[in-house]
This record gives sequence, structure tokens and C-alpha cells, in this order.
Amino acid sequence: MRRVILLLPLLFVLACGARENLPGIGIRVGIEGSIATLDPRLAVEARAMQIAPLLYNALLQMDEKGRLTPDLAQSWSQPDATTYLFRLRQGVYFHDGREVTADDVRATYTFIMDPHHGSPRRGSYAAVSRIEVVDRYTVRFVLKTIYVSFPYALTVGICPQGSPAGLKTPPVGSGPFRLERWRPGEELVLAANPRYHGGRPGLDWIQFRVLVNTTTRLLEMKKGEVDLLQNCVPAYAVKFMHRIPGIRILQAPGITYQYLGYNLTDPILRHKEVRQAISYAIDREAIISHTLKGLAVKADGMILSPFNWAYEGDIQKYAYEPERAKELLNAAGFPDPDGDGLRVRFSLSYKTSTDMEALEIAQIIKGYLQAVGIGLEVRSFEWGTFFGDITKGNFQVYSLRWVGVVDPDIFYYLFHSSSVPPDGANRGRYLNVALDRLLELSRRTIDQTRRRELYSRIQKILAADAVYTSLWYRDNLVVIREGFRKFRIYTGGEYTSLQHIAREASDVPAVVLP
Amino acid sequence: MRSFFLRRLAVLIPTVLGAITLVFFFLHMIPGDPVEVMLGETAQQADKERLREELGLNLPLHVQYGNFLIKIAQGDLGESYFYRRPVAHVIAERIPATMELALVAFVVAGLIAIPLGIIAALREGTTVDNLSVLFSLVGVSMPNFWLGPLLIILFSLKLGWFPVSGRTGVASLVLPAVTLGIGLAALLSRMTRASLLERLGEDYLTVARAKGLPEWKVILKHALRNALIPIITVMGLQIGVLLSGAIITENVFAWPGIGTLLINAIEARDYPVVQGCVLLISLSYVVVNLITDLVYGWADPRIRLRG
Repeated sequence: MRRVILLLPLLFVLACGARENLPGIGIRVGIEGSIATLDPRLAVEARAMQIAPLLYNALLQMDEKGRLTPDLAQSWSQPDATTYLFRLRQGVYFHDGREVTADDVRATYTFIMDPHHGSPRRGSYAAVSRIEVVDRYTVRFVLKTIYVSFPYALTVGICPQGSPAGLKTPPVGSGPFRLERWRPGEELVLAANPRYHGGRPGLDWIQFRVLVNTTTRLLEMKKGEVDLLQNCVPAYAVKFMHRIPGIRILQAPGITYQYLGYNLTDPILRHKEVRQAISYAIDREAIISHTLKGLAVKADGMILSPFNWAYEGDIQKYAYEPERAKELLNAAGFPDPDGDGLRVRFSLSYKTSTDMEALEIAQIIKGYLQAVGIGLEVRSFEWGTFFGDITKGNFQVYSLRWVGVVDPDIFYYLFHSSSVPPDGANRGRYLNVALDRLLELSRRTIDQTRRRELYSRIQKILAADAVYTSLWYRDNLVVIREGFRKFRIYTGGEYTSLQHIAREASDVPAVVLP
Repeated sequence: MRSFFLRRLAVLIPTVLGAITLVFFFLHMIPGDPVEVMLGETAQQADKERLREELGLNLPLHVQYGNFLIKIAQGDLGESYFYRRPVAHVIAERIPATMELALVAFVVAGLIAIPLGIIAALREGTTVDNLSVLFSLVGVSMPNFWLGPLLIILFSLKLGWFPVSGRTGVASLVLPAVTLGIGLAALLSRMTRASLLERLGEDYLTVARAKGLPEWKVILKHALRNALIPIITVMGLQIGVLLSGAIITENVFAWPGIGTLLINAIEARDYPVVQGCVLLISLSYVVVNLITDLVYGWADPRIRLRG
């Protein structure tokens, strides 16, 4: 009996041993966390959406610079302000052999809009009145009201008509890869789709491995068990990565915008001069070069990146001018009680997550503000708590980032007086009637030039009011093993270019997946 | 024996109930809204309300708690907010990995600790004994998030014997099991040494020797068996720790077990999964304790009689 008990663990071990091999050559990609669902109609997480273009085709997709480009759509037009007409490519097949038709497009969006499916994406289609199948390859979207940002909602992967909600097993797609196996929290393996309409991908498979622990991720890269890490190598580790032979580091300007947010209902922070003073007091260039090791670009815009068509660079800028900050604070009625002494004009609390880098940056900002006579109490919270506090307005100053913003309509969502949580993300409770009017107008204006002018005015107002302190745009950072050619960085972090990547047999010995 | 067993089973229910009740209320007390996490900030208020209603999060807390208990009593752990699948399935997928790691770590700990403890006790005060003290000190004080990467660098990067992380077969189990087992081994080896030393002077050992038994038999059969009682207690408690507390080790080795699931669930405010994990962990503690008590009976028949 005792012997049997001792053998139990061994049996367990043997039970977990076997794994099927994948033939051919592929790439192993480390990712930071698990994926909840791959069903494009339900997924809203960044990780799922970055992988989606490999499995699914959408009417439109994002290109490298975050611009909308046709994917399944061969052409599209807008016969009037509330109608969008899409002509589909012919000869595109789902992985199960069925052809992609207008019915599938309608079914995909109808599924999202059906409240019974509880899709988190549903809100983006509130303006849709009906979706009509004109013929096998033509589909028409009719909106109730003008909604100029509507095309941004058409990047959802198309699934075959009648696909049930695929939480465990996502519906099939028509993308360059099909799902081979998925162990949530562990790995996701995609295999090449030989019938892909855009041509067979250069790789036979892609394995995404969930590696939550940063040290482990880096060691896997060093050992050669992972070939690609995108935006999950911390700045301090880049030097370490450089020393590993056979590894290339690619860096490209990104659109992830880091900022300080303020509670404008706070008796101190409602003074514009105080917020401006904070903006002048922080030496962002020093933080970028020392703490972020040059892996960011100073942000002199409001939220939108310089890549964006609506970006306005000619706004009030805040260089590092601590003297000016002091003057502004004096003018706002907060004199320094003892000059360069230890006493402060006032103290603020600064909320951030428990992320190591965020904490380090918070401490540096604390130092800068101390120098102009502002006390800062840094408080870090586990993510759920931190985020809960921010949406409830339970903060004075916080630091966060906006990831993947491409649609300038975000300004409405962030700063319109009707967007105060829970109805939007106007977390600082910024109320400005003039801005509200511009924001409303921008939503209804179809003429692109006119819209651009409106957004320009909006950005100027926001910058002058220092509603946010813009910090920087984080670079996209990719660590990739040599031998993989043609990998391109997408500003939104999408893995789209893995379909074009080539690994030549002569480059490095092929890896067979365990 | 039967009444002993039944009485222990009766204690099991309030213990588990207490644990899940505490977790239920603590979870709902901390800030952070699961609906916000699920739908994201961009969702419409009406959709958030609908979902809140669907999940029963709009009901008063005591009603939610009542519903939760009724469901548990029916064996229904609910549906994960994050994975949107039954909690039982989500957890069941992770149990084998955690069990496997815990059991192997347990065996590793025993294989290191008991021989080391015996040798240290028999060679009390010698260099061997001092080295075992050193091992225990280092083992107990070294955090897993540090020991894990050290073992990876040595055995995986330098020597290439084992994979860095993941669950890909027997080889991949070695480093996490050793990482997890060393802390326990350190504790157990000290306990074995101390407990055995206490017995070594006992009269019945002199009797055993007088009967002409070989020394190894005297030690293993008579001294060690009696010294095992406190060790079994600690091992029993520790296997519960191993089952639940492999969180850091699982994280370092990308081991897809309950620990990583629990941490993710707390971050995502996935109440049903957190509650399910806690239920499982508290159950495993209680059951393991029960087994420990039963094993006592084997090691010391007097305990059975008293039961």
C-alpha cells in the first residue's frame, strides 16, 4: 500500500508528459498574460485584439501606423452621411472551407448588437439602424445618426454565420493562421492556413506562450526558448538583452500616451495655474533618458500621437521651467512658506499601480515637485483598487496611459461634460461648455478638413487648461531572434506582420515545438 | 474510529463555510468593479447595468451571499466573469498541474529532509550537523522568487538540463518542484533532527538494542517511527500550503496551476473564480488535516483508541 502511495506522484508526472509535435518551422512568442477569449465578437483585451488579425479577417484593419485600411473589403463608399457600403473580396474562405459572404458580415455584427450575447463591444454600434445584405458580396450599414468614427468599429474579425459564442473554442476565421491548440493561461498555437487568400504564410506555426513573470520571460529569451518579445521587456533589461548574441532589438515610436490626470473638483487642483505649474516642474527629458533608457518620446501633444491625422502639435507646451512653476504657484495664491526650506506650499496625493517602473517614476516626480514646494504623497495600489478609485473620482493626481488611441473621437469620451464616469472617462470632472460644443460638432462634421480644424481647437484648449500633463509616448520595443526576417512593428502592437515573416532554413536550425 | 471520522467531518463544514464567507465579504468590500473590468471603460452605462443585473451584482450583499450559499450547496460554483465559463471547469483544468507540482515538491522535500534530519541527529554537533543547520537556514530564508531564477540560471541556462519554464513533461517539473520543496525540506529536516534526538535516549531503544537488532533497524523502526508524529503534523499542514501556496513558484515557472489562476482572478475581480479557488484550498486544508489525523493512527495506535 505504502509503495502505491509513493508511486502516485510518478504517475501524475507521466500523465502530464506527452505532447504532440508540430512539423515545420515556426516562431515562439512570449506574452505577458493570459487571454480570456479569442472570439472577436466578444474580445476587448489588447492581447486578444493584437493576435486577432492572424486568425480573422475584418472589413477594415489597422496598418502599421494605426490607419484604417481595407482587409475583407475590396472597396467601400459612403453614398450619404449615414450609409456605408462595402464590397467584399471574392474567393476568401473560412478555415472550414466555407466562403466568406455578406451574410457572415451581417451575422457577425448582429451577434455583437444582440444584448443577449453581452458583448462588451456592443456600445460601438449604438448608432447602427440596420445592416443589409445587398448581394452575396455587398453589405450596407445604415446609421440612425451621423457618426463619423463608425469605420473604426469595423475592425472586428468576421465569423461564419451561425457561430455560437466561442469562449472556449472560438469560431473559425479566414485569416492567415488557424487555431491549432489553446491552453488558457499556458499557450496558444496557430498553424498556417495554406489556402489563405493573401498567400500561404512563411511560417508553419506560431506559438504564443504566457510568461507572466518578467525574469522568466527574459531567461527564456536568453536560453533560446522564445524568439520574440513585443513590448514586454522593461527598460532596465534592454542592456541585458543587448548582450545576448543572436538577438536583435527593434525600436519604433509608439502611440501609448502616458500622462498625469487631475481631479478638477479638488480645491487646490481646480486652479489652472497649479496644474500648469506641475507640468513646468517635471523634467520629462531627464526621466526619459535615465529611467526609461531613451525608450520613449516626449509628448507635446494631447493624447493623439504625431502619427494621427488629427494631431495638433502647435499647442501650449510645457518645457522644464521650475522657476516659472514657482511663479505660477505664487500667482495662484500658494506662496512658499520658507523658500528653499522643507516646508511645502501644499501636499497632494498621487495614486499609481504597483508596477515597479510606475513607482520609480512617481518617486522622481515627487522629487521634482518637492523642488518647487509641492509635497507629494505617492500611494500605490493593486490594479483593481487603483482603477476603481480613478473611475470613482477618488483621487487628486494619478498617472496612467492611453493605449492604442487612433480615433480622435476619444476627446468626447474623455472631456465632454456628459462623459463623467460611469458614462465616460472624464475622470477629472472637466466641465467646459465651449469645449462641449466643439466636441459635439466634431462628431457630426463629415468634412475631414473641417473636422481637423475642430480637433485642433479642442487640443489647444485642453493643453492650455492643462487638464492632463502630457508625459511621453512609449516606444514599441521588440526583441527578436536573428533569422526571422520582415517583422514589422505595428503601433497598436498587433502581430499582423507575423504572416509575412520568413525564416530561412539556412539562418538557424529549425526548432520543433515540444 | 468511525465516530472519530464523523466528528472530524462535522468540523469540516463550518471551517470551509467560515473561509468562504470571509472571502465573500472581503472580496466585495475591496474597491474595483468586475463589470468595469469585464466590459472596459468604453461600455455603455445601460450595458453595464444589464450585466450587473445578469450577474446579480445589483442585489443587496446579503441576498448575493444567500444566493451564493444556495448555489454552493447545489454544487454550482457559478460562472467565471473573465472566462465566461463554469468556474468548476476553469478550476478543474488547473488542478492537475497544481497537484502534480505539490506532490512532487512534497516528495522532494521528504527525500531531502528525512535522511538529512536523521544524519544530523545521529551526528549531533559534528560538521555534518552544522551543514544541515546551514541548509535549513538558507532554505527557510530564501524566497522562491529568488531561488527559482537562480536554479533556472544554473540548471537551465548554464547546464542545459531542464527547460526554463512551462509544463512540458517530466523535465519541466524538476526545477519548480525543487524550488517549492526546499523551503519545506529545510523546515522538516530541523524537525526530524529535533524529534529524533528526543527519542534517542529512550529506554525502549536500549531494549531494542539488547534484543540484538541491528542499529539501522533500531533507528528507523523504533526511534524514527516514534519521532514521526510531530513531523506528520507539520507535513500535513504543509501539503495544504503547497497546494495553495505555490503561487509564486507557479508564477516564476509559468506553471498553469491554481496559484496563477487565483492571482489573475483577484486582479480581474473575478469573484466566482476567487471563491471557487478559496473553497478548494480550504477544503484541501481540511481534508489533508483529516488524513494527517488518520495517519497518526498508523504511526501511533494510541491516538486511534482515544478517538
